[in-house]
Amino acid sequence: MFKRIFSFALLLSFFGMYLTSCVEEVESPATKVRVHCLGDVQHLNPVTATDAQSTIMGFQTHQYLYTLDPVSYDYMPVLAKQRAKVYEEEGVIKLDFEIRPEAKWDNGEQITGQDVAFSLKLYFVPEAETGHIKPYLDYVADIIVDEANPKKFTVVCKRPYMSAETSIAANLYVMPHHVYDPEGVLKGYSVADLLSDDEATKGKLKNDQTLKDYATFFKGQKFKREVNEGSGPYSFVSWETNQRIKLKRKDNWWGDEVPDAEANTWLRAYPLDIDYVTINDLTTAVVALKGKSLDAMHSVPNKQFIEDLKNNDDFKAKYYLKTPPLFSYDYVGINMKEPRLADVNVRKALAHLMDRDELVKTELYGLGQSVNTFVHPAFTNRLNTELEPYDYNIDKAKQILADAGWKDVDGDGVLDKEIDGEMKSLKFVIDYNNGNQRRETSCILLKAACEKVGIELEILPMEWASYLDKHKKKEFDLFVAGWVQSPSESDPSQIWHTKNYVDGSNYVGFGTPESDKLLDELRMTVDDSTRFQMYKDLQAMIHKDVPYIFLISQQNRVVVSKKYDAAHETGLRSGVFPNAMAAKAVETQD
Amino acid sequence: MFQYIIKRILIFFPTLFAISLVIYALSILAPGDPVANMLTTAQGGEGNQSDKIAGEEAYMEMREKLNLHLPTFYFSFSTSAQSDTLYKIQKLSHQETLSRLAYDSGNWDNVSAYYHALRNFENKIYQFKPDSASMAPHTNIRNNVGQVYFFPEDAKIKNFISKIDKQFEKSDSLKQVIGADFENVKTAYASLRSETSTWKNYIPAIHWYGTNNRYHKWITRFICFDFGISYQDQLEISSKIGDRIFWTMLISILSIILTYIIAVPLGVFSAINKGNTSDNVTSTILFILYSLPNFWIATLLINYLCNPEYLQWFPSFGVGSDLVEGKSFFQALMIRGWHIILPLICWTYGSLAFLSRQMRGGMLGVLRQDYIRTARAKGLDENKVIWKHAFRNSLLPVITLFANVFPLMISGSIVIEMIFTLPGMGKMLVDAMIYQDFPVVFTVVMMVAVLTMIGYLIADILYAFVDPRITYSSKK
Repeated sequence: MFKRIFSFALLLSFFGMYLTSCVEEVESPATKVRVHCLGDVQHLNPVTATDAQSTIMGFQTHQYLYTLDPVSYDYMPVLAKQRAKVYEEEGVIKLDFEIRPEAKWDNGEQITGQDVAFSLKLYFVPEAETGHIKPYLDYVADIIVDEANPKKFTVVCKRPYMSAETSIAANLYVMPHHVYDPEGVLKGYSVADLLSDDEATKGKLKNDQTLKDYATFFKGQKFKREVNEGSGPYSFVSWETNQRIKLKRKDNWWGDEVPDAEANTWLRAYPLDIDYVTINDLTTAVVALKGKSLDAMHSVPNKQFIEDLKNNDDFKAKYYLKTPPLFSYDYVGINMKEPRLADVNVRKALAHLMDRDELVKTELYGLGQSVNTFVHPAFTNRLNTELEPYDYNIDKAKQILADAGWKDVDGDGVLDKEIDGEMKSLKFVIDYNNGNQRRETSCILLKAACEKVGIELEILPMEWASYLDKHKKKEFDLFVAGWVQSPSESDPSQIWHTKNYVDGSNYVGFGTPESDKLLDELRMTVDDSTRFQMYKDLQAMIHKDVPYIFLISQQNRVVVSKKYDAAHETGLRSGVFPNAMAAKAVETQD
Repeated sequence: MFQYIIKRILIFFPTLFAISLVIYALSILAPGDPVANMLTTAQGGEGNQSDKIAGEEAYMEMREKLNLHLPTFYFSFSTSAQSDTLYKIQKLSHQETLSRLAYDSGNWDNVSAYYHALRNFENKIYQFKPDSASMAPHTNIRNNVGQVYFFPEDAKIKNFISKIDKQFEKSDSLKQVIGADFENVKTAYASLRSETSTWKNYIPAIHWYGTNNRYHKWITRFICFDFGISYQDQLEISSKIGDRIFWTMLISILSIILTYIIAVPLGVFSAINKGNTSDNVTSTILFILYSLPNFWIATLLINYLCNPEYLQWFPSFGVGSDLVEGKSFFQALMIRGWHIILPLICWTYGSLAFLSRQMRGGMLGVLRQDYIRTARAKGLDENKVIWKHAFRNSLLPVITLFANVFPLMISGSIVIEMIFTLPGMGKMLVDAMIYQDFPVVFTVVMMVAVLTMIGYLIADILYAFVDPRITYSSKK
């Protein structure tokens, strides 16, 4: 019997040794970066894709005129030679751009203003599935390309717009027409026509069969699954569903000829290969990282990052651990049109009942901070720092409610008050999307505090579609949600303007004629300091009115192998920018 | 027998038709508006989106693209109070409200008049350019109008009307320009409530729409193997399935083979040794296995067998695409195999435990039979008794289970696919459900339905082979 067990154990250990020998082949050279992603890209066409992963890959294969610098969050000219000249001529805002003299397509053709015009037209082909980006570009009236130097072109605006320069420069992928329109179909249409506001022109183009056929071609499976070509430093090699996307450094990339390419993050391209490796489960991904099957990942679960990785000296010797900010925040939305919640005192009391520090401690393991407004604390130029936070203070909440006339009339432990001749109790439902642990904890903390002052809060986890539906129909009292932001300045109208109450994202019903006026002016104001002041005024209005209880903003948890010179972490959605990862110089002894 | 098979295959068609109807009906009854969801996912965080008109245009465009502007089925069966053209109303949420109003009033023409008056009023509101005096009332009216589409209740609508009236009192300019339009809304609503004919709710009505309906469009394409385009990522569904079905089928089939190879002899062995230590030990182990959740085991296996901190014997994710490049066929096979060992274990152990319990139960039942005692009494070799006489007869429950194997081949397992990052069908199906990506759900569920029916047919045929008492030929 023992003999048998012994021989079995021997066999098992041989097998184990054999397997271990297989595993060791996994580690890759420092000229390759394997970046983790949680899911697949939607598809390969950067113009029509709407997901974050496609954008992250798009940064490497395609280019904008400007891209946000991943560290300073300023716009860096990428295809453009420098920032545009913005001026007013005969009451019309114009922008003069110039494309870098070195910029070329893979086939050697120069990238010119004509390519920018072509790309803009691409976005405005009817039925082209670009609805998500069109509203950011439809302020453009025309693009005029300089005849003497086709690298220079002028963008003519229909109306003043605060982001006129960056909106076109940082949202429009410049696409190679010889790939995406080999027959030259769009040459037959002008920018002015395709972007026209005139109903007759619009109607004519909508029914134009040639354009319809082109739209079908452009959004077809070829560009979604097989072909992906742009002016970026990396070319697309292969995509294996739910496994990985392989990119390869181009041999003759135009950026190599730019004299000061080193200074511009997006003109650096050190690794020869970038693989986006899909691992659907974050815990598995951390194991893969430890097993050297991955070189970089972000969004490591907070608990694991703090309790496991940060305490693991072996791991720390091999990996950089970084925590850049994440530009997003969680909030509790309050239905301001609900009769009881229409009372600002109730909303203020609720704000005082939210223990945000506890949330940062228990859910984020300290990797984040509580926020008081919609502007991320990192953006001090437009952050209103004078807002006095609604601190966690149960006595204060009690006092506010008592002062507002809420008292327990029927002895059921819940506060009541007569509103419009009807006795109302402070019993609310708070909903969140099922499965989101952070939001669940937020609800539990709020509920516990509410019980202490005589507010009854029922927590309702909901399935995603029903959760959205409920907000659209305004059938909610309170809900926990979050907004993901870009570090660039964006128009706050979508969330705060009353015109977006019915169909837009102003679910809670915030807004007064004053705030609307401010928002309308804000998006038209081009002067920075005036506009920043407007941001601050808006934040003060929101703070006073408490449509949201602002909760927390997280930090990302980034891990990158130390075989590279640095972690190259960023607050952008990608967490890291692998194109800048250079092999660490080998230390030599003198 | 042959006749029986033909008959069974013919029954496939009505069954499939019924299944397609059920899935289709469920998709319509599911909460949420797929168009609205798709448009929401398309919006960024804080963009300058949603100019109302542009938003509605986008909504309409998407609705048409998904064929949602067509009637749902060949006919509708409702009451004569309801409209036969309700599907033409743009928004799903509006449709719900109007249907409720029609129920209350019994007079569709009035409901329609009210709706059009309201739409007209809303358009006028959006066209109106307020000055500083009319700014506040204008904003208030605009917000309230958007809300009223969700209210079928009389009290709420009356409340809305009085609110708007109050706003008009605040601004004369507003009243002059759009006051008349609002009066139209009020008149229309008043007649909606006064001229009721609720008796119509008791008169059934059938409306015939013909073949230009959503179901027809979908099913005719489906029959020609055109599964359409996924709502989620606009990829062709056939290609999405094509990418995933290989790995799902490979792992399931291997798992099924493994399960049967191990479970059947194990069950027989347990049954023969009933009550012995060996039976007790295997039973305990199998019970433990059966009760361990596979997501937990999967996580444990990854943590302890793929982790350099413990044992790094297996890769933790994927199917080894990275490693097979430039390798010979045999090496590639080894690498791929090495990647699917752990998922295979997780996929198999639960069903293995279950099946062997079934086999043991079946075998025990047969071993008690008289003919087994007779066989033993006439001095037959014990092996012969078990494998020739008992085994074949104890297979019936196992064959019943075998019928379920076919749908399992393609349905995959979300948990195992997620944890090990396999390109499988399970995750695709669950994602599709979350995003209300009905074309994908339809396709997979229909495929599963077909395979289930094939499974049962094969099981029925196997019964006849195993047990001569079962016959499908009519007795002459």
